Amino acid sequence: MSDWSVEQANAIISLDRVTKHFGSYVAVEEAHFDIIEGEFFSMLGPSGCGKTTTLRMIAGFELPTSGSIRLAGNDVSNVPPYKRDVNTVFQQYGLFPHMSILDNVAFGLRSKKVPKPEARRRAQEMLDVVRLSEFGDRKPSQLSGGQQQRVALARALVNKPKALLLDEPLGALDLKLRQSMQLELKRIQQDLGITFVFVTHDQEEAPTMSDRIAVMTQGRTDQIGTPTDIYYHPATVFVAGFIGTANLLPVTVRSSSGDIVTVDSALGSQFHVPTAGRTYTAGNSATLMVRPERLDISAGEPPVGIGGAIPALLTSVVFQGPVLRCEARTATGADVVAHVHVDDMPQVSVGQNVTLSWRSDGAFLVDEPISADMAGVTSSTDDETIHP
Amino acid sequence: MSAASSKPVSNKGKRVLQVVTALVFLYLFAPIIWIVAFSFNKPTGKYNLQWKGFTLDNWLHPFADADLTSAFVRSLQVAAVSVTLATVMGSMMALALSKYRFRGNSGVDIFLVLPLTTPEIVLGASLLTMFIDFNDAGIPTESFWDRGMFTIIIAHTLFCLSFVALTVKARIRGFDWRLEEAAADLGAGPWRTFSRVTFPLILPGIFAAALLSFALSIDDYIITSFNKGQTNTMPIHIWDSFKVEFRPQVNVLASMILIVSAALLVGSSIVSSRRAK
Repeated sequence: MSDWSVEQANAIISLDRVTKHFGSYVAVEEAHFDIIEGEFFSMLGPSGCGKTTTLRMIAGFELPTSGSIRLAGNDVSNVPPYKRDVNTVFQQYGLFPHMSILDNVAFGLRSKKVPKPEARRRAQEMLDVVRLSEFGDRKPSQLSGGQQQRVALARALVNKPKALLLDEPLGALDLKLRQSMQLELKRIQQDLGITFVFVTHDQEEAPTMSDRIAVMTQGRTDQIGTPTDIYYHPATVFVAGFIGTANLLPVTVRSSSGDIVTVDSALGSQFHVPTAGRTYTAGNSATLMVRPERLDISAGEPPVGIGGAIPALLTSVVFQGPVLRCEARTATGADVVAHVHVDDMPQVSVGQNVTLSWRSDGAFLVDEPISADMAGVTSSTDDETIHP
Repeated sequence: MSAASSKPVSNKGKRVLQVVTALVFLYLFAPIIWIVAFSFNKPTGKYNLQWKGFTLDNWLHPFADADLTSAFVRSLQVAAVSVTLATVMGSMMALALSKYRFRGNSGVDIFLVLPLTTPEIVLGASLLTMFIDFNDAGIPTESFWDRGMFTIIIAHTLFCLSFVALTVKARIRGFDWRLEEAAADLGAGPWRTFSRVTFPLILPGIFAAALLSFALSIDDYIITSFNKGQTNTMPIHIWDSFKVEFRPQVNVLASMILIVSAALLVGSSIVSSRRAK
């Protein structure tokens, strides 16, 4: 198990081997990481990966089966939610339908016995922050989904929580509104300096906003890192395929020296891959990952000074704005995708043999084997996105 | 021409529908119209059964019949106590049954329906048997279960309880329990969560249940007759005195109950429709 703990002084939330069982079902398995004060932290994974259960344990709605949770240094594992200094923005907003917007926002302050005039004044200020100054007298049902979303945000933030927990809060909004809310959330988070813990299954949403992302699957935490780290240096095959599009090839580790690891591919060639600080054991099966935008296509011999090259048959070229989406098949039958800029595309046509190559820092070695039939391109969504 | 209307209704069909609707409403309201109308009657004999002439006398002296008045007051007292008890207990049962899944949850549902499906005459008779047997056995004393206000209230609370629990349970089926999580998340303890969030939202259901069980209590004859002892409630008094007289004050008091109930119903539907906005 990797250790993602940080210096205690910086951690606002610490999960210590937190496990949650529902009957015989293991929802969360030994979640063990720290969330740093003031950061935008996302828990990302497919449904059922345990991200929401983890969030609900931090909020106090679920108690861990084992392990402990510390909030600002204090063990809160068994503290009821109403005594925890965190607030949640719920997926379905959870606004009180019988109260005005202002009363909704003031509710948390009134729970803490803040006098009514002051509570209302601060609630109004927070409505200003989320740009709903004029809506204080309305009822939740009179607001649109996006406005209700911002009320839910204001209602949580007005309490100045140690951390704000967001449970897929943008899931119910349409794409355009979701994108503007992503920027808005990031702006508010930076303005207020509050720690955000954001749960999402959207692999495009998380990198947009997050300082760090925890990628989870089947109750396990596969990797925690910055969006770039997770994208270019995935710890597992799952992470490689879940975030963006990845070309995966089965390889065997031959040797490792310094910053470079040398691998043998099933295609018969040998590649040199930067370790990016990881360690590999010679003789192990592993997976070579190259992102589509890191692949170049050449008609004949590959250019010199490259990290690796494989021969392939070009099977399709699709024009997607400035980028061409090229598909090719390797000698072992793996389908590979390359995103090539229009200006860099050589004079080749579909059905022709080409060379796919990448620069020395264009590939990464995932320390996990992959079966031959899983080799090739993999992506979590059908509509693929082109990363810069 | 509107294309939205699914099926055009012919003028003839419309007319038939109007007549049928009018007849149904007449059927429903005729007895009520009679009650109210005869509260303004000026009967010549002891029986207020034939229209003799209009007067406001009865309404000016609604409490002229002392026995009827005391029976009326007693009925209100019985209803007030038993409806309060049944509403509090029944609502708590409904909350527990809807909020928590526990062993025997569905069993409780069946037990709740039983008192409603049991014939009143059987329920009344077995309550009487029970009270007598308890007294005979001296549990807790020999005269504790003597029939009177106390046993009437126990009986009324019993049949109202099931009614309230089932009605409230049906009404709070749509309650979003996640709102309780939201309240707890905002620092509200169990009591604040209940008093500020859960209770206000389920109040219309509780109010409706209380109103309906009030109606059940105020006009119960059969069960009460078994367990009343020497105490007369209004329905008992009306039935007993019918052998010798039927005074228009009966209609006046009945009309008063009617007006108050209708006002409460209209009021509550206005409040809940305003809230929904």
